[in-house]
Amino acid sequence: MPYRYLEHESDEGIEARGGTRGEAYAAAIEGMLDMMAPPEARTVREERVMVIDGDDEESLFVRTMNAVLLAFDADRFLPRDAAVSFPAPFQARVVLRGAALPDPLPQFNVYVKAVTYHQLSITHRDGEWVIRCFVDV
Amino acid sequence: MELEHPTPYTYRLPRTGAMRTDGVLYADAKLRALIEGDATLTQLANVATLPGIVGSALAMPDAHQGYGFPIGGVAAMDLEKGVVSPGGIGYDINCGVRLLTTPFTAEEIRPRMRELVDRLFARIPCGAGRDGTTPLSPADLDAVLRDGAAWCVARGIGTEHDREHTESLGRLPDADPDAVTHAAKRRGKNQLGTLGSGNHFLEVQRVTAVHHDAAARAMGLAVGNAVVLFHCGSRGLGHQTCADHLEIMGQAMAKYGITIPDRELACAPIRSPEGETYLRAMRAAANFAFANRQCITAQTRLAFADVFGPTELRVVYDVCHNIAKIEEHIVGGVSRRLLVHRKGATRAFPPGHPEVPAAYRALGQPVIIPGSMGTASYVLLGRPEAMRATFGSTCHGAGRVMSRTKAKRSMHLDELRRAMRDRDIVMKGASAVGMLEEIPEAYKDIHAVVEVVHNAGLSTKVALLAPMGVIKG
Repeated sequence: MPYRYLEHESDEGIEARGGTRGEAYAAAIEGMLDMMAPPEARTVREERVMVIDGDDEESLFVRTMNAVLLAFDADRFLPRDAAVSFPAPFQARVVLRGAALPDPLPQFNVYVKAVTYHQLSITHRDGEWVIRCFVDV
Repeated sequence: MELEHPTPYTYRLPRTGAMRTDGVLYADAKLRALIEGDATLTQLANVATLPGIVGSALAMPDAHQGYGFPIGGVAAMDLEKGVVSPGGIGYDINCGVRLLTTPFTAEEIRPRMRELVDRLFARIPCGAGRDGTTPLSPADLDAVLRDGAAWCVARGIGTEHDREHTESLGRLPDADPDAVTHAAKRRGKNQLGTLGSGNHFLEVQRVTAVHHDAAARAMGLAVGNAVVLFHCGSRGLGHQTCADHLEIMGQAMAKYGITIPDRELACAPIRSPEGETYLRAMRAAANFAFANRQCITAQTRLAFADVFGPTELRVVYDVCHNIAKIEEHIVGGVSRRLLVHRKGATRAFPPGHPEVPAAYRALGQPVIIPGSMGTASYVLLGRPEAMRATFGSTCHGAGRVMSRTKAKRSMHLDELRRAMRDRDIVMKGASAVGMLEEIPEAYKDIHAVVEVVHNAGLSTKVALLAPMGVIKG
């Protein structure tokens, strides 16, 4: 997996990596989803497309991650993974692949409330994108 | 950071750099050392930079690193010159605690504890993805956001007695459903009556000690009695409200000339359109949380009825610990109306305060302090010193000392189950990982935290509660 979890006293952190910006975003989304429910509990039956606008790189990332949480909480859609592209500098097009929440529900690990700006960093160095973020659980 | 130590239970962080005031940490030496181990004091210094802060930026003895504000933080703002920061309230708006008495002794309940815990778990949706007990139409959701627990009581979900024993009578005025974003409403529409996950829980407890006879008597607490305590908030609706308004304020700060050291401290003047809209939305989310705890109370009563037949469970009190409220405080001998942010801090009003319910007014406001899973909880009373020194505030819980990752690594689920069994605690959770993250060792010593606020005069001990049954998200 192109991500790892970071220690945080009260919450959880994710460090995601990618050869492209889109891959790093997708890895961060996958890291957050894996935190919530194991991959084997998540299936693919449909795709959902979201377009998110940001004011800068950080706000674009936070809003993208929070849009994934909104799809889960409001639409009961559990994504398996995501593909992310950028039609404009601070606009993300996210294709979420997943399925409606099954009945009975899978065994969830944690519920992520929100993705935060706390110690958020997004860097592009030596051909690699690295995103470090913390989520409120 | 260099701290001064002016009194046995306070440490002063002197004003430096961009700080507009000093910081004050309530702690003993051991808690201070723990608190210095993370970014709490840096965050406290950051809070002290916010425009319009009145008095000191405060941290309670359960303080730990949060987002923007430290958890356990209190900051009062001038209404005309000050700002409101969603980070000073937290993502879980009106996260709080409710305590119920039962007519049973612990020993009467204990033989049927497994059955009771199973019924509570079946009745109260816990964990991620579970729908609430009370589906809401868009019009109903708006009414809940406006009326809070009163909406529930009007529909037979609880009683007037419940509401009268809830902070702010379970309804913050000036809440505006239209200030809550569509996204937040979408997240909340199916979540009324859900416990959530993380550190949220419901426990059946026994009263193990009484420290203040008159107050315990007024609250219906006696050694050996069984009580129910639960901890939860505004669920996805509150989280989304915070996230959305952080974005709005982040965009607005430049036009007000506000600069901040941490983006999670995004804020706007209280008297600005952004500030006023957030406060109306926050109050609406707070009302959702009051209604949520009211619905959980109703489900708890049903679970007890499943096991014991009709049972009277009376609300002792319901307190918020993530909230901002406009309150009157004496500062420099002058009465001022201030916006008091409490993030992981509990209101602790003293005897005689008009906002304390009539049943407790001569004693002081009940303060309910949930401990970590499997340890202990406390009931306290607000004291006059809290009004003088902390804008009527005290601690809210134990406060974490161990990361969730480390907690999961430090114990296997079987060990946790065995440890709980050894303490005669029946446990049921929606998530094995969630339970491991909340092991008692992940938290500060609740007794040490409470000793500090007791000895500092912020609140006084009434009763000690120990868990017998736990359900968790």
